[in-house]
Amino acid sequence: MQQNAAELCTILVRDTYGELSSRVVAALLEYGRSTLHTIIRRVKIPERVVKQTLVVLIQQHLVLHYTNEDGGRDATHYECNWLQIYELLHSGRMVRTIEERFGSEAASVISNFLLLGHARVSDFITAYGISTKPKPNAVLPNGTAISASEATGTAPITSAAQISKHIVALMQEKFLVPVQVHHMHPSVDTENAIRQRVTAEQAGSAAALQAKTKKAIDEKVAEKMEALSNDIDNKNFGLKRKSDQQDGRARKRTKFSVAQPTEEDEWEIDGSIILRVNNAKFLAIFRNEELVRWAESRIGKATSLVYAELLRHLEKNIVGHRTEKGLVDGGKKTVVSTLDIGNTLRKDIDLVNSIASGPAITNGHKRTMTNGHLFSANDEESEGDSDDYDLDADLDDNDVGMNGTHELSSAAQEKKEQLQNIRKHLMLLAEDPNQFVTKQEGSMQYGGWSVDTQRLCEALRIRELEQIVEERFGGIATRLVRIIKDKGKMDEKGLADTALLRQKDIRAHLGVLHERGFLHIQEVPKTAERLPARTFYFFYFDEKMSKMAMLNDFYKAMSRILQRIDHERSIHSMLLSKADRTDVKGHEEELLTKKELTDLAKWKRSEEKLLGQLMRVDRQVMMFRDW
Amino acid sequence: MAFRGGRGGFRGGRGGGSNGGPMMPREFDVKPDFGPTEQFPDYTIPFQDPLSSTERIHIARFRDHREKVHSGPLYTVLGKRKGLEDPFEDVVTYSAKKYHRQKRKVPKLDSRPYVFEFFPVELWETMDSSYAATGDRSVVISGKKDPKKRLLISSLNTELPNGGHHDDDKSDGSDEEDEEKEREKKSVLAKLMSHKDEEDDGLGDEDEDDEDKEDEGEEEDDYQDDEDGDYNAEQYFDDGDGDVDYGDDDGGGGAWFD
Repeated sequence: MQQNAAELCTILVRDTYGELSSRVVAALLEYGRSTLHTIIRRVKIPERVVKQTLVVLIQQHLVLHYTNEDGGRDATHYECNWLQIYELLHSGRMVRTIEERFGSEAASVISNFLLLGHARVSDFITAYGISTKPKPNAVLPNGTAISASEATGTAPITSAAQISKHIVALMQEKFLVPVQVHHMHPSVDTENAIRQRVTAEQAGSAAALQAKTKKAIDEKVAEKMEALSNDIDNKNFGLKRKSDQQDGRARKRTKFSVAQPTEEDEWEIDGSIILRVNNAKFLAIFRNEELVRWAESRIGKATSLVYAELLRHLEKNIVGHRTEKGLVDGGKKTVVSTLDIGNTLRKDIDLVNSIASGPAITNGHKRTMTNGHLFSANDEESEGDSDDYDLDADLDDNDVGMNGTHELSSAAQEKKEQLQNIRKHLMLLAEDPNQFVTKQEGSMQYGGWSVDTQRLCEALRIRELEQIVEERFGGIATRLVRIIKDKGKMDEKGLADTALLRQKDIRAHLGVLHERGFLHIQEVPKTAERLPARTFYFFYFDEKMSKMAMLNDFYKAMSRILQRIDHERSIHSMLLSKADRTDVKGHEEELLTKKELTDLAKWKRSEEKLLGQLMRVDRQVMMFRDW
Repeated sequence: MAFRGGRGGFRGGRGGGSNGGPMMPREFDVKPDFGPTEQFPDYTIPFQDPLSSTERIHIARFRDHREKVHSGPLYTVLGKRKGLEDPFEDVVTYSAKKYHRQKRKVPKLDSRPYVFEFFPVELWETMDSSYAATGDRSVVISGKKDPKKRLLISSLNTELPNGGHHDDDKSDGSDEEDEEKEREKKSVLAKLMSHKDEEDDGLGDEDEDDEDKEDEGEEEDDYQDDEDGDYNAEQYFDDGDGDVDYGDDDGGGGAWFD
């Protein structure tokens, strides 16, 4: 946790939840884990108000808490979950992502879960049923018919069944995940509690101190911690009716059974579970979007669309766990077949004309390759290779069965061609120096593909870093950084030789790079006296440290942007409060003067620009921190 | 103590370096420039690339979300401290009182159900007054839900930004009209969307009154004296709504705890 990150988090909370929350968060970030009374003493706000604020923050998962039960009295400690605070920035993008994939109704479900923090499914569905009109042509008690769109404008979700259908869909793809008690505690505390329990079980005696037992305990603790997180990995966790480990009181509260099974879906939600938005999953999606953009800039639009489709298939299996190292997901091993992509790819993408047919030689070579592969595949099929069964068996069935109807066989032919074209695009991706996809040999007929996201993100990071160095310090500095990264530790002389520059010329660059934290120096004295003149100075590049330095800059930049927005807002405060009046809202054209209208538009534009910049920096932060 | 001669020492060190003394045989080819720097050195101002439409949609959603949180029960604005109010701008006027969005000084917590086991025990009392030592235990014991407590659900604004500025006000206009109808059904949605005071009536009035009193006690009461006197400037503007307790509070922010 860096100072700049703390500042950013405080500003973000103030921007979203107001001043009170931000003061409590600031105190927690500054002093770390504290008890209620320490917080009260530090923020100088009445106890009752602090408590209320803590409820808000815990509800939104911005603050974690843990009550130590052993000892005479229980002491509850509060801790700020600053990564979650940072996630406040992503709200817009998350809602939009769901909107694109599942439609606006599901997006409104996500948006409401974001607003609520976590919520019990049954409560959520009940609330939805109340706040939206029941049926499009429902009749009010007084006999007037109203329509759903008239009632709520943009949330035409009509029945509980519909909402639960959306929730099930979102849960199956892990956009919503169940919350358990241990999610509300800092993971360190959870681990400690487990360790204590395991130690007590293992050996109640002094034997526990022996190295062997210690190791065994460590293993067991790790296992149990994993088990906790694996619960969520289970695809249909929380979807079937299952008894949870909740205590009696909680169950009494949740006896409310609302979960209605939907006809189309065999899964029903357990009404008593509590859901929240899975931020890690969204991070994985944002990462994939970035990869697609990169592929587009390197290869082309159509190929990137194919790539997006491939990644979308991989995403389905991603739950996303956030660790200190970054995002961990199971996407690496998953293989997607060309056939799967072909089934879901939009038909209007021009796959054929997007690859320019090059000079005859290479083109011919390629064609024979693909054709050759095709023929051999057909041959293999007769040998009865079970893995090859997928497509050709299907298509041939069509061919044979519908031999008379010409149309269907031509459709099959079309399908075949489409798959070949997709395959070409995927080959392009695989042959790129960055190796966007990895071909999995053997198993599937048109090929199976996997993506090594970790390696790709590493490459992405390096590329971004070099771009930043180039932008800030110029070409020579970039060259130096690249050389040092390549060669390891180097002194100035060796560096100058390798860079084909004079020592004098590179010195200033090295100085600046060192000052800004991109390069680091190790001193190796030749003699015991450590004279500067008799010392080697080796420059080296430490990825972790330069990452930290850069993140620090990013956080600072983001805080400044938000502060700038605040300042701009205060300049226009008169106008904004007027525009915010309940009678003016919606009637701006009539009630505001021309000058005010232009000013308002100007303010909105400038805020948009600043927020746009914020999101751009956010992209880099995610790249260096999360992916 | 040790740094008393710091500046001089610095100079000395520098001199030694350039003279090539025994300690610093290495010659410096970097000549420091001690002259005054230019006041406004040349600087290429970076320009932002125009925002793409995707980015603009993200921003629109972000703003929309933030706006919803702001109009929700959790957003708080601390009023200005006593004596720091602007005597011209911060005077409560009739229109300000009637049309401006009411600001909350403390989050409003008692209108929604909570998952109690996710919260530390010491906060339960704050979340639900029935957990208080003096509170009504019947709710806790029977485990029944308070039907008045509901989650707030708001609709999503799916408008796409267009032109120079996107006006996300069109939908709000229709909401305004809906209010009348919604209010009859005591819809939670309407309560969220509107910031008027009439909406209070749905939610446990007794509790609110209690809370109000407590709140008033806690904040410094600027207008104690005025209240005792026979002239109350605040009352002058009272439109008779009565529901909002402005009169005795610190005026500027307007305490609104519903």
